[in-house]
Amino acid sequence: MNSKRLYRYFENINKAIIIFFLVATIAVLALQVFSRLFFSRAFAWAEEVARYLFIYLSLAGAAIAYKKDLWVSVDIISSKLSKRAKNVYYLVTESICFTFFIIITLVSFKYIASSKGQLTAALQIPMAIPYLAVPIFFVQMSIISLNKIFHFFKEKGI
Amino acid sequence: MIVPALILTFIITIFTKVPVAIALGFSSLVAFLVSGQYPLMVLINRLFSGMDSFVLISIPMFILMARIMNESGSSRRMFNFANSLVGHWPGGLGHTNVLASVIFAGMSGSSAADAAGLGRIEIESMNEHGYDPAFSGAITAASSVIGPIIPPSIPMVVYGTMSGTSVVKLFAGGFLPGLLLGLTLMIIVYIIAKRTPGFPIEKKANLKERWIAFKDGLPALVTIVIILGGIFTGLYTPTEASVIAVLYVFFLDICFYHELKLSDYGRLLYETALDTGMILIIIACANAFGWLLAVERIPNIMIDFITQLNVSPLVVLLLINAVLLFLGCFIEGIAILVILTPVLLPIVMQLGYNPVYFGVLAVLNVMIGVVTPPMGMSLFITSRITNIPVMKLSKAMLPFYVSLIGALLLCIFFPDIILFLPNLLFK
Repeated sequence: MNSKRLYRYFENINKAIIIFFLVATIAVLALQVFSRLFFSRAFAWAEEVARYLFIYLSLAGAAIAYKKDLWVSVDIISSKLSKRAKNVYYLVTESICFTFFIIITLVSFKYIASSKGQLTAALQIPMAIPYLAVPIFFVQMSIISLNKIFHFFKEKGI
Repeated sequence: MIVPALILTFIITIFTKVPVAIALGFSSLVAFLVSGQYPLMVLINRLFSGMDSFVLISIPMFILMARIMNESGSSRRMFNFANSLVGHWPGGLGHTNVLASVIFAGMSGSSAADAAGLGRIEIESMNEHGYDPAFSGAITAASSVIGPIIPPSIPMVVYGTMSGTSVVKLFAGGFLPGLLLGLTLMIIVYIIAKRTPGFPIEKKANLKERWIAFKDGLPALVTIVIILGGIFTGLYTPTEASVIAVLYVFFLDICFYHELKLSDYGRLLYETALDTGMILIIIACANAFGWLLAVERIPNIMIDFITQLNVSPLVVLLLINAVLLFLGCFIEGIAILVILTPVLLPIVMQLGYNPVYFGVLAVLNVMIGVVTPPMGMSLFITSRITNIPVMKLSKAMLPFYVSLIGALLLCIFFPDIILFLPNLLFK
C-alpha cells in the first residue's frame, strides 16, 4: 500500500468537502437570516441543511486532524517509558483507536440499513444521507489508523 | 457492571496517548459490549445526535471569524486602540494587553484565538518596548482566559447544548465576570509594576491620537455590536449572529484592509474545519459516554449520596468547583464540560442553584485550566511564541493565578455578578 498517495487522496477530497460545505453553510444561513430580517420569510429547510453540512464538514476535518496527529490527548505515561516499552505502548494505543474506528464503521452500516424508510423532517430526504457521514469518515479513520500501524512496523524494520 | 467497565476503561485510556475523544468513545463501546443490555446501534445514534445541533454550528463560525480578524489586521488595530487608552498607566503594555483581550473577547469565543493571534501581537510589541519576556508571556496567557468568558463563548455554547440552558442567558451571564477578570488582572499588573524598579512605562496618548486609534479600530469594534447587540435584543440567534459576523469581517477585509488573498481564505476555512472537527469528535463521543452515565442513574445516586452527607449546599458547590478546577489542569476544558454537565447539573439544581449561574462558573473553572500546567492550551501557545519553557512561564503566572482564582471565588460568593445581567435582560 502506498500510504503517501493514499493520504494525499483522502486529504484532497476532504479538503474540497470542507471548503465547499463550510462556504455552503455560511451561504444557507446568511440567506435564512437576511430573508427573515428583511422579508419576514423563513425557510424551513435552511436549518436542517446547515446542520447536516456541518456534520459532514466536522467529521471530514476530524479525519484530517487525526491523520496529522492533532487530536488532543493527555499523555502523561509515554515520557516515562524506555524505548522498547514505548514501541509496545504505541502499538497498544494505536490498536485501541483502530478497534474503535472499525467497530463504529461496521455498526454504522447496520444502523443506516435499519433507518430505511425514515425521512428527514424538513427536506423529506432519506435519513441515510446524513447518517452516511459516520461510515464515510470512520472508514477513513480506520484506514489512517491501520496505515499508522503499518508505517510503524516498516520504520522499525520488523 | 456497565458503570465500572465504563469508568475503569476510561481512566486507563485517558492518561495514555489515546486521544480524549477515543478514550470516551472506546470506554463507552466497552461498556456497551460488557453489558449487552443496549444494542450497539444506540452508540451510533448517540454519536450522531451529539453532533446534530444547530447551536453547535456557531463553533466553526466563531473560530473562522477570530482567525480572519487576527490575520486581516483587525486585532492589531484593537491593540493600538487599547494602548491609546491605558498604555500610560503604571504597568504600561500590561494593561493594554488585558484591555485588548477584553475587547477581543467580545468577538472571539475561545482562549486559543486570543493567545495565538492577538497574543502574538501583544508579545511582540512588549518585547520591542523592553518588558520582561516572562511577564509578557504570563499576562498574555492569563488575559486569554477572558476570551471565552465574555460573550460569545464556545465553551458556553457547548454547556448550553449539553444542559438545555439558553445560550443567550449564559452569554449575558458571562459579561460581568469577564470584566471582573480583566479588572483583577489589571490590579496585579499595577502592583507588579509598582514593586519592580525600572518597569517600562508608555507615553500618554493625547486626545487626537486617541481619536485616530479609535477611528482606525472602529470597523472592528462594530463586530461587537453586531454580535452582542443582535443576540441580546433577540433579533437573531447566536448561530445566526456568528454567520453575520463572519460575513462582516470578510467584507471589512475585502473592502478596506485588503490583507488576505483568496488562497488565504481557503487555508483559513480549512484550518477552521480541523479545529471544529477536533472539538466535535470529542462532543460526539462524550455524548455517548454521558448518555450511559445518565441511563445508569449516576446523577441520582450521587444526589442521594450528597443528601445523606447533610452538608450545606455551598460546601458541595465549592467541592464541585474544586473538582472542575483540578480536572481542568489535566483534561481539555470542553471535554470536561461535555462529560460532567449531565452528571453535575442535576446535583446543583437539586441544591437549588440556577443553571445559568452554574454554567458560567463551570466554564470559568475549566477555562482557568487552559493556563495551568501540565495540560494548558493557552500556556503551550504562549510558551511557543515566547520560547519560554512552560514551567518557567507558569512560575511567572503565579500572581495571575491568584487573581483568576480570586475572581472565581467572588463569582461563587456573589451570584449576582453572574445573574444580574441575565435577570435584567430576560425578565
